[in-house]
Amino acid sequence: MNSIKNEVQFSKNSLTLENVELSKGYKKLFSNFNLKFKYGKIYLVVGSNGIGKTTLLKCICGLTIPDSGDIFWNNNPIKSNLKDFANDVYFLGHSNSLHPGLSIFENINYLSLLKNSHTQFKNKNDEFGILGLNDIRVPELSNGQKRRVALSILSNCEKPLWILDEPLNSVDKNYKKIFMNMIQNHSKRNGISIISSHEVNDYSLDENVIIIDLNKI
Amino acid sequence: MLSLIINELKIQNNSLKDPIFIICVYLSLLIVFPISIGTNSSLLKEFSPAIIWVCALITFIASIEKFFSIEASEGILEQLVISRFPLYLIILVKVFCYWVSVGLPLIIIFPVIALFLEININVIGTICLSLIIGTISFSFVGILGAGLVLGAKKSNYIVMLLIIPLTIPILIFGISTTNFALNDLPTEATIYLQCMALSFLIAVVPVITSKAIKIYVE
Repeated sequence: MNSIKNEVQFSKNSLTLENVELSKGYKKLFSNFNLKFKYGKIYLVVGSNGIGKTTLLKCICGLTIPDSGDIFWNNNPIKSNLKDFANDVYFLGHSNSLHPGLSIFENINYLSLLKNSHTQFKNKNDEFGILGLNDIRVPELSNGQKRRVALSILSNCEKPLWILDEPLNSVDKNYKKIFMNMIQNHSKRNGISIISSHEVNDYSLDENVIIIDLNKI
Repeated sequence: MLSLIINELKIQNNSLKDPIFIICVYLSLLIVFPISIGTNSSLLKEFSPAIIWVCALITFIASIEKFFSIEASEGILEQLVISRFPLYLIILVKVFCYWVSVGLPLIIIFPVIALFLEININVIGTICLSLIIGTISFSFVGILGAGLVLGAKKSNYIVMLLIIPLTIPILIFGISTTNFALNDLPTEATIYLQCMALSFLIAVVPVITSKAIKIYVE
């Protein structure tokens, strides 16, 4: 990744969860959950199926409101500043958020319009090789290709906080490596990545990667 | 804002064929009535306001329960909730674009239909205005229903049960405007009533629908 030279650094953000209590339906997932996410780190949320990884991620990005407790983005509670917070976060869920009625580039434009991220592919990096997919309609893409489109939107989105729900689903080996580089590049720019996964082996671990094991909480 | 509308129109109309389909559906619904009532022109003339409005209603709510289903399954609703636009604004844009893609073709084709139904040319303008207000109201009610049944099983039946009672006032005001216009009576009062129903829907529907979407996304 030699593109890092001309990229700006993000400001030193932090995200704090204080006494968060979360439930899904009638099932209580966490109570008194405290956690601090610091700039420049990669957080891997692991745990067995159904333990609440996705619910936790949705809660962090403001989609699910916790039963009690607060989440602070730079010491401001996100409940009352949801729009400001939403401007700093990019959420990539289980599905790829690609509209089947639009072409790939219309999708990119639509998402960047919604997120105010001004994604310009022409002069940016195309690590995930989606420029070659130009003419294919979204329903004709394979799952892996759709994921690559979603990941390349992510890599061009200029948001300090990335929340990714199992981003490497159906992505092949080469692109896993590229993804890892992209995440590390993001953390060098003071970005925070919060990634849920049930396969820790997919990620190359170094001092920037912090594992949060929900089974042990 | 403008690009949001353009994108939404692209999403709702896969191609330029779509408005033509809408027109064909409307016309084929209209043809059902002369076939079932018989071609007795005095009866048809008496029923024509009801026929116009009921066919418009059916065209609007025929597939409304699927309105959010693609966006729900592809995870786009989540992006809409945490986008930089307020959700109620996005819903207003969606309602507007839904009306442009379904209502506008009907309004454009209406003068031709009016000729077939032997409607006086002088009153076509008034009936068109009343249809415009009424179909915008149908769009609001329909999207309210689509939002409320998100995630429900058998949503196609539930959405009809939810929507049809809500459309009754709109139908009553609309059909009476059309009746008055056909009988050369003043129509201002019923048009104002239609506007009242519409302004109520503009105020209420975005709020309720955005709440329903937020609950679904949770």
